[in-house]
Amino acid sequence: MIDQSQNRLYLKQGDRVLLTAMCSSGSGMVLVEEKTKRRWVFDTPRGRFTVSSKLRNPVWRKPDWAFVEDGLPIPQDPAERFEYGSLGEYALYLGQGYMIHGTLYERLLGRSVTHGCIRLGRDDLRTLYRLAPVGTPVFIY
Amino acid sequence: MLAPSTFRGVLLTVVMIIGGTPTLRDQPDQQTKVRDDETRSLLQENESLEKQYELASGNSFYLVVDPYGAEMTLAHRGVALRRYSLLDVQLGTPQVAFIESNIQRQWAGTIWSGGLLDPQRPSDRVVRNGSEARSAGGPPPLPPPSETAEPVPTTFVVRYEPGLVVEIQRSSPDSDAGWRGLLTKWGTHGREALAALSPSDRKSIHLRIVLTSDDADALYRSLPPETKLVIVGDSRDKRPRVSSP
Repeated sequence: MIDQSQNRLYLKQGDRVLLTAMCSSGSGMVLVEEKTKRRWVFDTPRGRFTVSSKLRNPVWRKPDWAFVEDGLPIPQDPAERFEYGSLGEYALYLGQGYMIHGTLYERLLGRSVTHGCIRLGRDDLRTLYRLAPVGTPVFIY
Repeated sequence: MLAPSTFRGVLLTVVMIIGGTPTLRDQPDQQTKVRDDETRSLLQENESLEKQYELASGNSFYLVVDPYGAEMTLAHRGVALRRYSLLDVQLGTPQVAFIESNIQRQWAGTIWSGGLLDPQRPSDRVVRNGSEARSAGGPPPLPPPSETAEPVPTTFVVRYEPGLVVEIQRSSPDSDAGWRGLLTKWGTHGREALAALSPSDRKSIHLRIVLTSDDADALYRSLPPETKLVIVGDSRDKRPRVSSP
């Protein structure tokens, strides 16, 4: 259960809270590409999701907006999109391109700074990865 | 001719029979009334559960307001996300010249849709142009914390169409005591007077809910758009009371 307004993640088993973690959710920022006028809105969606898969040492395949945001040209070679280490040690996929993953910027936890994904600190992410199996429902509000 | 003692005995017996008959007749009426009350209560509870099931089957967030249980729950797909303790609940129905108006409104068991926060949360989205490149390797700028980014008004309202206005007030020891308490009460009366003048609000049912400051802040900041609402109770109860915590 993720409360975006407080940037808190709760892992519950029935009414029992197994983990309370500080997280970061979507910033709500809008990015516009000057040439093509493509727009990206960095919101974390509300609703019910499911942990569809889990991964150790995930590799980030950077989407177009990551290059547009940095003012860099979008690479033609797919291999240039891969970035290692920036998602932390684990990732839990929620579908539709959204994940719960780690971060290099733990000092920003508790603030709405992401591009839509949910970021957790290293220790909390490890606990969540261990306790939440594939199929765990995730409620984001 | 009956002896005086016998006559008195017969007369006493007749009086007892006449006097006792209404009592005997009342017992079935009272039993019927009790059964009717129990039946009505069960029907209300059943209807309430059916509405909650309907909401849980949908894809919307919803609030379940239980004045008798002193609790309000934010839920989605049948899962309780957050519970709020109700410190006080007041219900106001439309009146004309202090007389209950003829507008029939079933406040309990109705699913109210289209919840709109008033005032709305500030929507200060940052729009960045892709040509404004961030400095390579530097950390992203730190956004303000939610307490600063989204200040919560002292009182706010969630409006539902047609005809329900939910007013959220916060309670704190400071706001209830002394001059502040008096100002709070006068502010409430002022808002009620304005609502009576408003063409839309004066036809609405008003539900005033008092929460702790923390709960009021959390509700304002986290309430998803168009959250639905259902109130548990009996619409014939004009003044639902919050049960003692």
